[in-house]
Amino acid sequence: MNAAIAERTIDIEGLPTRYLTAGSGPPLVLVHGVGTSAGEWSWVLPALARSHLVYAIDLPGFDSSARPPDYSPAFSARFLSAFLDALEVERPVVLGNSLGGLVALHLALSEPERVCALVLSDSAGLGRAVNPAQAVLSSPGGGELAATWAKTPAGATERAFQRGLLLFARPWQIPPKWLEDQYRLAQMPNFMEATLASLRANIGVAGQRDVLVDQLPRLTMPTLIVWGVEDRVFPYWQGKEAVTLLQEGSFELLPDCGHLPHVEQPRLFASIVGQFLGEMSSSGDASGSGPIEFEGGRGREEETGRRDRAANNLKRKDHR
Amino acid sequence: MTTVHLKPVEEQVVALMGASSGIGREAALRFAKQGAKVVVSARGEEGLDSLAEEIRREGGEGTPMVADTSDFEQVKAVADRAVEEYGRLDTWVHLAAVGLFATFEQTTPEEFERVIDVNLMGQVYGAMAALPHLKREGRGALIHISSVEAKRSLPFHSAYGASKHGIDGFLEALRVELKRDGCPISVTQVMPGTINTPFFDKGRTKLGVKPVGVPPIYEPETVANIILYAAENPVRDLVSGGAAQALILNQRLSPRMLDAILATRAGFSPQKTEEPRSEDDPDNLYAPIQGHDTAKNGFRAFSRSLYNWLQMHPTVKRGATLGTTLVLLAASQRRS
Repeated sequence: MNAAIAERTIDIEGLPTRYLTAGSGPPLVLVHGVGTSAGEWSWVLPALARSHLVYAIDLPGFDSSARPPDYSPAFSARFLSAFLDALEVERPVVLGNSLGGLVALHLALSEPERVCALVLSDSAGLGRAVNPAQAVLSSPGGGELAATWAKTPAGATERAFQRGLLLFARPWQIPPKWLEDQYRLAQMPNFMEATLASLRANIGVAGQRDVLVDQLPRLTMPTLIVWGVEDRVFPYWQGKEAVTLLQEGSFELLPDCGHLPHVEQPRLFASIVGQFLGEMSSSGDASGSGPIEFEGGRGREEETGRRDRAANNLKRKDHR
Repeated sequence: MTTVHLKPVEEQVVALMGASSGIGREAALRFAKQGAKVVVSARGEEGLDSLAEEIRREGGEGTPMVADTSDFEQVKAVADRAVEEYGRLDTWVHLAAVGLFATFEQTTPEEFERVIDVNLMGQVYGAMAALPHLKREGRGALIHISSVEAKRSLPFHSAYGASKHGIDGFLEALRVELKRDGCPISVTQVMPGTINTPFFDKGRTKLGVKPVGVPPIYEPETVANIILYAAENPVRDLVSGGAAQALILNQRLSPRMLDAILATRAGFSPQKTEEPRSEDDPDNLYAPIQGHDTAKNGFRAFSRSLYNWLQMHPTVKRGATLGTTLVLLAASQRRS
């Protein structure tokens, strides 16, 4: 890929924070979910960086970021806001997957003037339902047991296996680098503690704790909700229902895709996001660029075809 | 359907193949300590003599007998010796195995064949030699120690994994045949994960370093405990260590997914230590080597496994399963 990805570290409120950055253009900030790190964006980062200046942040506690005092999504949103201040990023598009979506949503609700547009991918916070496995993993005792076990090589292998089965529609096609990263991350100091604490902050026996559905009508910025149709963590109807509450929302359902569209369907995901960003800049205030183009025509045609099939009946645009 | 009733260990005559070191040594000592009469066998005379000495010191009764497990006549002689010495045979425990740590492409046909001869044919000969005696006695236990690799082979272990799969294979047929005949003999396969034994020092390695199994590593007594349990309780399979059970479950869920993970660093790097070792260093593939006649190796290991404890306390296990199910059920009720 042609976009060079730089890895940098910056001090945010006393916490050394790692982030990846690439490209140039209007700013786009990527926020990852629980139990992973900014590196998980590497499958879409080069494509997105062709039209945008992309920042992918490590949420505090994950990978090389330091341990925060608090793992709640609201705290992470304030942390994200401080990150934008420190880097002097003005009105970026904020894109979050899973828990990262909830963090982005918190930021958009608390400081709407800071967020130019929002992309929520298989996001937390849009319904109570969650895979019961997550509730077991966050249970008292069960969580500690799983976290301790995951730090051993066999446990890290087991964790990568279970996450693979849970998060992907086609687990045996998972990119080796993703498995390699998961295996490495679980054995890093503090990583499993951060994962468990974040999980507990968000999920209890009765499902997701932090549901923001009733606040969605307050959002004024353009918002794209993207979901893998085979997401086994959060069911896709959460996104489908959420979009009806948005002032300016659209919904895209991805075929053959689980909880991590940016890893399992990177081309399709980047092209959908690229089109959303392109439409925004052509109709609105953001200075900018057209939809993201891909190298390799054949692949693109194929992806577009699949996308149209999936999106046919499900795409909605609710303008007030 | 016959129910198999096994004698208490203190009333048993037990023969163990592969007792000079590792799990076999630990199990032999425990059987003897609990009052069983043991016949202990292996290729290495020194290891057997020191074991017999240790058994005597502990006040136990044991007979050492040198035998190569890859030769049926020698294995049969061990079974016969138990009957000559103590009048009968109640439990046959077969452990003898060699290790070969190399990729398939680094393995020669002779090496592969030798691993099969010792690890698989040895176990077959053990069952063949012991069965007539157990049948004559009217009850008894065949306990075959294979490996978690009886269900899932790991990289660097093509020959080893094949030999262990073979044990699983012949035992499944044998078990059903005995059942059909109403034969009150218990056939147990014990599948350990990584155990802290001299196995890793004695095997042939082409990895350039001393090999080790994927952690978590358990002490030999964790397996010895479940072998003694199987001598009194007719159980089909016993997996030693929760990690081994997890691997087997994963294999059942999605072998393809497990392939994908094991093809990364996760399958390879945990099998290597930092300690350099050459393939020309002495190994026990064809003949016994000296200086490893202990139960334990020097790895850091767990001496207890909660998973094994639950396996040996089936009532507690059922209770725990029921409890967990109820809690989950209650939680899902609250949710909806």
